This record gives sequence, C-alpha cells and structure tokens, in this order.
Amino acid sequence: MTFFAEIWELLSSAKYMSMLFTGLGTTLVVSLFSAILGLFLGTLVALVAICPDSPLMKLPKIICKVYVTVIRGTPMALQLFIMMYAIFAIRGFPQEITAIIAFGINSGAYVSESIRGGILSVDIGQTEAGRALGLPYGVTLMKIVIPQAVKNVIPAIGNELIALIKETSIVSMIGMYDLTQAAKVIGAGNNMASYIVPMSVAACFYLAIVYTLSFGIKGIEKRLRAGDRR
Amino acid sequence: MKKIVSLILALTMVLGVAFALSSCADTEEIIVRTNAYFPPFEYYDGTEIVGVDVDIMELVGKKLGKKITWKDGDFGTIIDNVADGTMADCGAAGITITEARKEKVAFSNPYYTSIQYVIVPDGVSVATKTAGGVEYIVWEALAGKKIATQIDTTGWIYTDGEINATEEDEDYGYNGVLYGTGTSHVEMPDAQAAVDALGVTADVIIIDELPSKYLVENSSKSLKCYPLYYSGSDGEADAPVEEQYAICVTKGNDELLTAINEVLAELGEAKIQEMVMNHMGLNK
Amino acid sequence: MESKKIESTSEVLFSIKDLHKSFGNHEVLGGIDLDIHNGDQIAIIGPSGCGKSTFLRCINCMEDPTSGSIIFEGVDIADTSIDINVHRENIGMVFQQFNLFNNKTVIENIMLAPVYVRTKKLRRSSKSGDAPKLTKADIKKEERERAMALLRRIGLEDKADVYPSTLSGGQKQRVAIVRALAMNPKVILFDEPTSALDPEMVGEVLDLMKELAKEGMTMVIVTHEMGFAREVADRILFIDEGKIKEQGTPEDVFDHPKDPRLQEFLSKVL
Repeated sequence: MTFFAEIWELLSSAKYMSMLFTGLGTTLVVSLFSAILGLFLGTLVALVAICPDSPLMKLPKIICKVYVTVIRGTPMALQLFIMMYAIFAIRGFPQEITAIIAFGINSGAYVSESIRGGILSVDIGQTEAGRALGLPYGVTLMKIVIPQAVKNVIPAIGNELIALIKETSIVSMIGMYDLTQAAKVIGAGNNMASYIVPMSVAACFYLAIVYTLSFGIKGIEKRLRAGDRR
Repeated sequence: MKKIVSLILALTMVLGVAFALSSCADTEEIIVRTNAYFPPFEYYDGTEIVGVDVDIMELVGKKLGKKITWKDGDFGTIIDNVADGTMADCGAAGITITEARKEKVAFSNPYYTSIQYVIVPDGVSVATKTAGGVEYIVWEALAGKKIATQIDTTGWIYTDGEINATEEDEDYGYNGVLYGTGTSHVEMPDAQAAVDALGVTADVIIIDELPSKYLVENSSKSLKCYPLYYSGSDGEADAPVEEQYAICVTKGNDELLTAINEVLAELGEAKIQEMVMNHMGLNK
Repeated sequence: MESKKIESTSEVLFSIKDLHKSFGNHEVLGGIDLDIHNGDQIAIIGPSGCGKSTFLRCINCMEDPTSGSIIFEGVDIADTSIDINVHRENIGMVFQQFNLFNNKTVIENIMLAPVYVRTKKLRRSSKSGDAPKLTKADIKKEERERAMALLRRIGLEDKADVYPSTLSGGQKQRVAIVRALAMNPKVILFDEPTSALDPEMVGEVLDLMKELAKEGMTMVIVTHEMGFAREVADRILFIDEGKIKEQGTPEDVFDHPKDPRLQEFLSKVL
C-alpha cells in the first residue's frame, strides 16, 4: 500500500479518527490550562523581578530567580517525570492535573522572562512621568507601563504558547492519551503496525492547532498596534 | 479578564484536589502499572487497554471485589512505581522475573514462559541453524549487526550484556558473545518504534516471542522471526534464551499476591495459552 | 555660600539644605542650599554634566538625595519614609523627552492623574463616613472639561482624541506642560524643556512658559536658552561641579559675572 493510500485508510476510519480526537482533546486541555497557569505565574514572577529592591522583596526575588534558573536550566521531560513520580506521587492523583502543573510551571519561567523583557523595553521616561504626577508605582505600572509592554510581549508569548503545545507531546511518556499517544496506538501492531502514517497525520493536527493559534496572535497584535502609528 | 483567569485557576485547583481526595479515599481499587505496547499481553484497543494481563487482573479484581485501574507509562518506571507502592499496587506488563527486580518487588508465580526472538527483515542475511525441526539463530550469528531492542526489557538487558560484558568488569566476569565484534545496540522506546527503525537505523530486533510474532504478523514490512539460542559449549545442544513472566506486587501486599497466585492456579497453563491465542487471533 | 542672598517677602515653598547626591562613588551634588519662594522663576544654567538636571530631579525626589533635607510645605520630602506621591501631586515636572503616555490619547494624558487623585480622595472620604458628593463619572466629566479648556488654551483642542505619536515635538511638549498644569501644582520643574525640539518649535514652547511666568507660576527651569532665562527668570543659578557657584538677578549673572567659571561658561554660550 502506498503512503497516501494508508493516510486515506486512517482518515476514513471512524475508529482511528475518534482515537485521534480523544488525543487531541487531551492535548488541548493540557495546553490550555497550563498556558493559563504559565501566564499567571509568569506575570507574577515578572512583577516581582522588576519591583524596586527593598528588604521586604528580597526573599521573593531570590525565590523567583531560583525558579526561573532551575526551570529553564533543566529539560521539560525530566521535570514532568519528577512531577509525576516524585512530587505528585500521590495515589490516584489525576495525571491531567500533574501535567498541567508541570507544564504551567515550565511555561511560567519562560513567560516571566518575556514579560520582564517587555516591561523593561518600555521607555523609563513613561514611568518617570507617571511618578512625577504623583501616581504610585503600582498605578504607573498597571495603567502606563504594562499596557505598552503587552504589545511588545505578545509575539514572544505567542512563541511560548506554540512551543508549549508541541512540548505537551511528551505526556505520552507518563501514559497519558494525548495526540502523540493516539498516533502511537494507531501505529501499534494491532492497528496499522507502522508509526509513519499516524505520526504524519498527528503532525498535521499539531500544525493545524499552531497555525490557528498564530493566526489569532497576529490578529491580536494587529488590533493592539492599531492605536499607535509611529 | 483577570477575574476570569483567576477563577479558572481556582476551579482547576479545587477540582484537582477534590478529584485527588476522592480517589485517595477509594481504597477499593487496585492500581496496575503497565506499558501498553506489548501485545498480546497489553495493548490499546482504541483508547482502552486490553490484553492477557488485563484479563488476568480483571479476575483478580473480581476475586477481591475491587476495581482495577490501569496506568500506562514507560516500561522502565514500572518496577520503581510498584516498589514504592504509593502510585501503584502491582505491575502487569509481561514482566520477566530477574534477580535485580526481585530485590525491589515481590513476584507472583510465573504464568508464561517466553523465549527471546529475533526479527529479521527481508534483505538482511543472518545465518540460521536447524535442530529438532526448529529453525533458530544463535547469538554469534548477529555479530556486526545493528540490533534494536526496547529499553528496559529483557531483550535490551541481554543484548547490552552480550555486547558490553567483559571479563574485567566485576558485574559480569565473562566476555559477552558479541563483545568486540562491532555489533551495535539501537535502543528504542517501544517495540513498534523498533520495527519502524528496521532498514533505517537497525538491522534486526530482539524481543520476546509473542510480541515478535505479533509484530511480524501485522507489519506491512516483509519480516521473519526466529528463536534466539545460546550456542551450547563442549558438545551440549544449543538452547533458547528462556524467561518467565510474572506479575509484580509491592512487597508486603500479601493479600493481593495470594489472590493473583490463586487466579493463576485456577486458570492453569492451558487456559492462559487460550487467552494468548484469543488476543493473538482476534487481532489478526 | 559666597553669593549674596536674595531677599524675598513671599512665603518659602522649598527650603533645601546641604543637598548631596552621589551615584556610587561619584559625587554629583556636593552640598546645595536653596530657598524657593512662591512665585519665583528660577533658571538653572551650567555646563553639561555639572549636576543641574540631577539637582532638579532631586527636588521632587525622582532621584533620592544621598543626604540633606528638602523642606516642602513643612515636610522633609527627602525622608524616604514619607509618602512622596502626596507631595508630587503639588510639584509638576516637564521632561526633555516630553514623556507623554504613548498608550493614552492627548486628553487622557491630561486627565489621568487628576482623575486618579480625586477618585482616591473620594474613596477615602466615603470610607470615613462622609457621604460622597461626587461619583467617579462626575469627576471624569469635570476633568475632561478642564482638560479641554487647557487644550483650547494651547490651541490643540482638535488633537484631544489622537495619540501622542501623531503630534509634533512642540505640540507634545505643550501638552506635557498642560498635563502638569492640570494638577494645579504649586511649582513646575522644567528639565531642559526645549533641548529635544527642532529649532522652529522652540518658540511655541517658550511662549507658553513665558505666559505661565507672567501669571505668577512658580517655576524652576534647567535650560540652555540663555536669552529665555534672562527674559523670564527673576533669579539665575549657575551650577558647576555640583555646587551653586553664583546666583543673582539676570543682570548680575549675565552682565557682571564674578565667578571665573561662570565668565568662561558665558563666553562660550553667549
């Protein structure tokens, strides 16, 4: 059978397609919730990182620095393993939650760096003008700096989301039934007995998700930039 | 927007914890670790894990009046998970009894005797021998080949030993059959990946008998498989690489171990062989 | 201090005593004493890097002084334990680079701080039990009208709803000045307000500043425009090497400079 005939065999099989869609569901759920968690953590860490130095902020700043260093310095697969088999080695703890936490924490470290960079890229004069008018630091940050930083940050965050979605494919390692696992099962001996075709189809699924997402991000970018023609 | 995000987060956490607590409270459940790429013992049918081991464990569950929950994952993590006992009570994945594994977990009585097989694709020539009507391959015949195995399986352990063991190494104290022959070891995450690697990065595969037959039967590639034998020394006959499968249980969980042994005894060799044939045949 | 003191009858707004500022080991300000009275128009001149901008930025604590005191309305605002924001509401500042908020329209730039400050006070008074007389919407409406009036004054009411990026440099700086005015400050600090402007736009900004001076606004201006300083200021400070080397009326400073460094400086810029 040729490659394309096998692709057709897969696409026209209700059973295989339902397996792929079950996997797709897991991939989307894990990606979505870990992206939300990652954005939340990343923003928090970035805000702590750019806070002016003070004795009160010393410990949080150290914690955030260690967090970013450790998470960015170790492979995602190992983080997932440690989460799964050490930290959340709780009987019956749902794997989905473990995976969401592991990916959210990982994503947060990268997102925080993007956001921090975005905030720092806003001209210091903007902060000074706000402060000189008597606006407190937090208000200046929220009303003036962050809205401008968001525009600079969106492309980097988009990149991070795309990377995150593809990275979730390693949840099949801990036995979760995601898109990659579905492709493996379809490729197993009792089904198509070759990984090549189902993996190619799964790759197209990932491509479709990522393409849709980057389309959306472009749209957001465009809308945000509409306000300031330079 | 911020409120929605925090709400979703909070919900996720609450659901997670609630879910965790509810499952924690459920002691009427036996969690079984496996690696569901080992047909006919365990494999996915759609999104369900099925196979000989599943059939056996369902009978154990019925005997104890408990629910059986399957957890899939890397083969290499099964023994540690079961040894630890928090995340799994037992492991059923066509696991061969070895001394090293015995130190960590308790094994049931063996329920299946397997031998290692070699999968050889068309176009790769490996010398075979015949004795007593069985055509087989001896380790020496694989010299210089790229041998694919699934990581952490016995095929992987044996191949690693035969290629790397040296007299100087205290762990071995002998030279492996393939030591110094230029044979290389291609370590794959699962059996199907090894089949896809044939003709690309691998020449042959060493894997247990039944999965080997299963893979050969179903693959679109043109494959043959032969039993793998050790050459007999000093005029002894060549002998296959035999091993025994058993179900492993967290040490100290005697209730479960006893129940498994009872089920295995009730089934008997013939019934288990029938289950094997069912799973081999149903999926042909 | 060797320069003669200038007597003024009006009330002292700022009393700056022995102000020092260092960045690391580098001392930028080496002890400055100055009284600023209500209605003063002070121009600060001096060579680049003399510390005149740093001094101006210390007055509203944009740079925290290393030592010394700045008494503003009876409070030492150099003390880091006080809430500086309350005092900054009364001290306007205009920057060399305009620093209009890029994400806000022109009118929002002007309204933002007054609305914020008044809403905050409103919240406080409602907490203390007094029935609030105004809602946030009322405040916004009022401030919008005030901002429009300010824009009308500088002839930019048609630019109210555009973003600053579409304005010329001179327009930006005039908006920045009325943004400071919108807070009804007691004093406005100008940090080289015309240095970043194209020459043809300097005039419109200086004209607006002259108007403010005529109205009696207290102003402290760091500037390179000597003609403007002479025309507008009633007092000139010459700062060099982090110290006030000479001060006096424009006539004293420009026509009869005593300090040799001032004489050298004037010979270069005039």
